[in-house]
Amino acid sequence: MKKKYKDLLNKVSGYIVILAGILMIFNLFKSGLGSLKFLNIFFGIALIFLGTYVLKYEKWAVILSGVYGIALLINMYSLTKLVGWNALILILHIPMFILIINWSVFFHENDKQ
Amino acid sequence: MKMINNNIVRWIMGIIVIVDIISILTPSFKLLDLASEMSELAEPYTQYYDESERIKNFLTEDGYEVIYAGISNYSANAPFFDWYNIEDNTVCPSEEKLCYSDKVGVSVEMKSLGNRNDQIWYTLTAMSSVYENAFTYGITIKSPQILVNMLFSEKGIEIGQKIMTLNQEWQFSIKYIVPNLVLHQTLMGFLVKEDL
Repeated sequence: MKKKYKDLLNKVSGYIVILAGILMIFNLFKSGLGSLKFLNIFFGIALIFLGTYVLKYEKWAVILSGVYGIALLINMYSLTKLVGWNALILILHIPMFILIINWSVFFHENDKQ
Repeated sequence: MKMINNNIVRWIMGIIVIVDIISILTPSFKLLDLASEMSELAEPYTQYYDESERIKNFLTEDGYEVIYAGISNYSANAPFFDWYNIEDNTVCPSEEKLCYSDKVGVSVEMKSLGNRNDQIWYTLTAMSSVYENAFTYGITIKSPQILVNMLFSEKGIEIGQKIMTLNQEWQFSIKYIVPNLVLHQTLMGFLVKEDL
């Protein structure tokens, strides 16, 4: 894959993870400070950091973000099994696919080298 | 930026993300299990589901206006199974989850038209021809009027039926529930329960 597209894919993936982190923290303030909800702030900060590492092409971060994408994809799939396929859920799948594509491209390129 | 490059921070963030991933996956797998169990339970329902349109067509051909036609499984915990000693072989996977019996009830909601006995008879024929083995057949007939089937007399001469008009919306309904057994045994005695 051309470096230009690879960089773009990586950048988009990094920002998706950062956005996921911000949304997770936002969810904390929206839901109020429950004992379990409080964990969200740690998860959110961790995801923001993970996103910054993805932007730096760090291998471990790309792997984790890919796994995170797969986990969310399974999560979404389980929801669609219960609720049924609808447009909103399908749109929400797209960022996860980007994370997984970024992961596979990263590995593919690394293997070549 | 120095802090970001620190390996300890990487480890901590990595571990938190892994915990996050586990916390996402655990309920997902539970949901998948539940979804597969629910799809197994819903099988008798889906098996009959598309056929309800045929009842509608039959009745529309006879000139009736059908509001709703459908089929649903009775809950395995329905109390009347115990009341009437009805054998139900359903095995529920767990007491806490929703469990349907294999007994299905067909129901039709329609507007009243013409002779009431004829209407019930046509509807029952249509329902039993599509779903032969349903447990019950339910017919709800909506009407804008209450027919008071009481002949009143004036000066000792019967003059006819009194009709009380409630409103012009189809809000007044009478529900007839017919057990399959009765339908097959007598074919005529279909009035079992009447709810006003």
